[in-house]
Amino acid sequence: MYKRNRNKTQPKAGYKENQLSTSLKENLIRLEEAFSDCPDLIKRKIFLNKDRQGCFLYLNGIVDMDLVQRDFINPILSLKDDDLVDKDIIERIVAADIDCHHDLSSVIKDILSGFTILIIDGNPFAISCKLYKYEHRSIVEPEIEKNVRGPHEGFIEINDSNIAILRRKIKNTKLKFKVAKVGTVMNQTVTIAYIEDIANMDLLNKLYAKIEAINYDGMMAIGYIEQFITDFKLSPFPQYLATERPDKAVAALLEGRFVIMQEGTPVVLIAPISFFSFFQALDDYSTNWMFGTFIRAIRLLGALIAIFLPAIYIAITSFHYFMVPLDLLVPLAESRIKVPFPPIIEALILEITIEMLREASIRLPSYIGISIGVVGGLVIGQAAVAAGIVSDLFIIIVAVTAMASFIIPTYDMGLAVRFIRFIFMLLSAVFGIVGIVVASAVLIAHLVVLESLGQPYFQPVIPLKIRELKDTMIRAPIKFLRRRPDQGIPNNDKRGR
Amino acid sequence: MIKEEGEMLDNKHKIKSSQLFVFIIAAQIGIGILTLPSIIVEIAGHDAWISVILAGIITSLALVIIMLLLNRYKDKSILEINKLLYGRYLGSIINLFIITYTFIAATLGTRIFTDVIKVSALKLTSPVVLTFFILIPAIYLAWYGLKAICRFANTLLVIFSLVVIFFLITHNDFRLTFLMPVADAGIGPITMAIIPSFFGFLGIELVTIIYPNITDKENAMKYALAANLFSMTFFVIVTGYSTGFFGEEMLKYMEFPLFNIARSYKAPVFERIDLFFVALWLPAMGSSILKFFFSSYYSINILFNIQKRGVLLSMVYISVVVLSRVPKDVVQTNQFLEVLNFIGIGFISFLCICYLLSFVNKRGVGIK
Repeated sequence: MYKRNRNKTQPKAGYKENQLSTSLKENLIRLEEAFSDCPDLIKRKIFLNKDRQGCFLYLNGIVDMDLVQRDFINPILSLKDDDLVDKDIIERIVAADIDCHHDLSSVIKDILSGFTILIIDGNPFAISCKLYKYEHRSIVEPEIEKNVRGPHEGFIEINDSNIAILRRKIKNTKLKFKVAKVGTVMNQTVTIAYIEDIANMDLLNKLYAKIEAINYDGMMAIGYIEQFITDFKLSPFPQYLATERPDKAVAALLEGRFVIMQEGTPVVLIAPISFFSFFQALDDYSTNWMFGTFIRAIRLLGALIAIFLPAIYIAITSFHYFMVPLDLLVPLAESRIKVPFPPIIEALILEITIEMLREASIRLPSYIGISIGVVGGLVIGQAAVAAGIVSDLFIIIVAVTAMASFIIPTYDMGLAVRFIRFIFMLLSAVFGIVGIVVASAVLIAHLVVLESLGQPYFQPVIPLKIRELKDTMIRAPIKFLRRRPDQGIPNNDKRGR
Repeated sequence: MIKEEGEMLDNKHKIKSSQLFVFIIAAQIGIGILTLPSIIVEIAGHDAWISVILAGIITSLALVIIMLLLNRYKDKSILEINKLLYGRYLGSIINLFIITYTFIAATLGTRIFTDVIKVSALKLTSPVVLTFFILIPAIYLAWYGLKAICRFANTLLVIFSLVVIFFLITHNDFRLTFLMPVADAGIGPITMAIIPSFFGFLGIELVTIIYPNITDKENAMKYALAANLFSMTFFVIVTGYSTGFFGEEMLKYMEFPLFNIARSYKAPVFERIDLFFVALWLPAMGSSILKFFFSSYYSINILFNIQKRGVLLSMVYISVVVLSRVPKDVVQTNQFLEVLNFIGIGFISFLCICYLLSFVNKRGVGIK
């Protein structure tokens, strides 16, 4: 059988493009061409019985060597020569997943994915064994998204583990994953998770088409994908909710939304999403509804304060000082009189210092971060006032604003709010309260225009959905939350039977 | 991808009848309501509110006729109906008149908008710069189309409710005796005062321009009438309340009575709460201008089939800002407004005549 096989294929000197040849030498030359200057490719030549040659190929470091040795190499070596050409027998090998490939591109793809390949002289196919082991970090709670009463686990960089985390939580065959490839150079996998029967298929196809249309060499983080598939690229507001928390992803799936996961990053994207989703956290739901409502109201209030407070201070001190009650006007005037700058400069000095502090504390190692806090606190707290650069009252305003912007639970929305604050401050410095009104009108107009995956962003306030208001600014008792929100246009909006 | 964008362009003007409701009230309430109480009170005395009700009823009747007219032509706007009714040339001339009317209304509205801000908040800022600035939200929304405009107009409902709540807070100073005896002024002055009262209801005629964009036309009449009645109620509340608050003699000499009510209120912590009130009212004014602005821009776009929307929008924007500086002072602005009111009334009457004529010249009636 072996001889016949060899005789049959020998006369064909050439080979079809992309097809594996029966000659091991030829195959190896072509693979070496593809993997030239790749020192991590290990080629282990072996002699099988009857002097037949074979070669194991794998990439160093992403293959589970112990298992491959035990479950793939040993059984192969113990096979008889005739069995090696029979696919059925090869597939009987005990290793978890064995596959046979006839084309070169699949072989290359498998090697790159961490599979072990065996090419045997005379065989027109390669045997691929899927026993890979990436180095990865353990599942821990995400640093930037802590919570009190929920699960303390987070996604990791490995897509398969992330899928497994979701599968472990949703034990249902209706949980589906649609796979797309992105990155013309990096060849990354993007998976869209959704629950069949709940999620809207039109939206899924739209999202899938958007991701497929991405033409870029590689995605370092999921933010790349986000920027490519965002409809309103000129908006400061995030239109996809980025999270590292599996519980958030599961909650979104149950509401008929989609979870976009990318190989190589622990952050997933949720879409479609509304403005108010960025102010929600799992803790709102896992505690009593009264506290949930209270905390959520405080968050929204915090966002309002973070945007408006410095702008109102500037408007009032530069234009409308007569709006300040007399009792407050005197101390305000006293503290302002020492400051040589107009209010906007005073505000910008302090606000930019605060932003720098915050940025520094994110990038620095935590032990330096503490000293930054001390330096920043001293400078902002006392020295600036003593030096007459800023007024006492404004210190309080900056402190309140900073705290208010810290309580927004999503980083992206926090960034947006911080950014918008500066626009408000500049406009209020030029046009006073009119500047604030016009800026807020543009802000609301923008929120009304904005869409996330084609769904209105400011829903359920505008367009008004009274039924859904009970889970936006307030959080009604769980027994009233029987319907899924309209944002994802779910096929079935009833929660539970 | 391209197809999707095309669909987005078509969809962005599509509205529901319920959105027509906010469109109409946003067009009506905003500018007129600021000055009108004092103007009407000058003619009808403390019975001004009766004139407002009468004007509301008359405009409601006119609105019924306008909606019937639009219903007869199914999917057409007044710009197309004119061409069918009066032929190509005369129809085009009438269309130009309509565009000019909406454009001038937007311009004069902008002028009052700027004046209100200059008087109440920014006395020293250059008016041209100010006008450019305060129109930005309107331009932004006009760019994104009718749907965005109507969605934004929802926020006005909050503002209107806040005004009513504010009235309730200040109700201690309201004296019913200022409104007594009812109909004291006599039939003559009350009917005379109807004419200036119409100014508060201008805006219903814009339905004829945006009508083809309504998706559920069968409910349009209901919502349009409800909107007119809503405006009427609000208008009556404001007129009646300011009469009862100040008394007719004092009210006559006020420029913006609505703001004067705010000025007379002493809030517990804040001084000069009226500035907040003015600030709150600004979006309502801007929204009212926007409706006329958009109608003008949209009709030019459709009539001349202009592809470069950005260029057109900027041109309309700049010309509105520049032309809004034409009136020399407040007096002249008010004179222009009086003329505008008559043109508006003329436009509405013209629409009613169109309805009658559509029975004579049946070209295009009922064809989709």
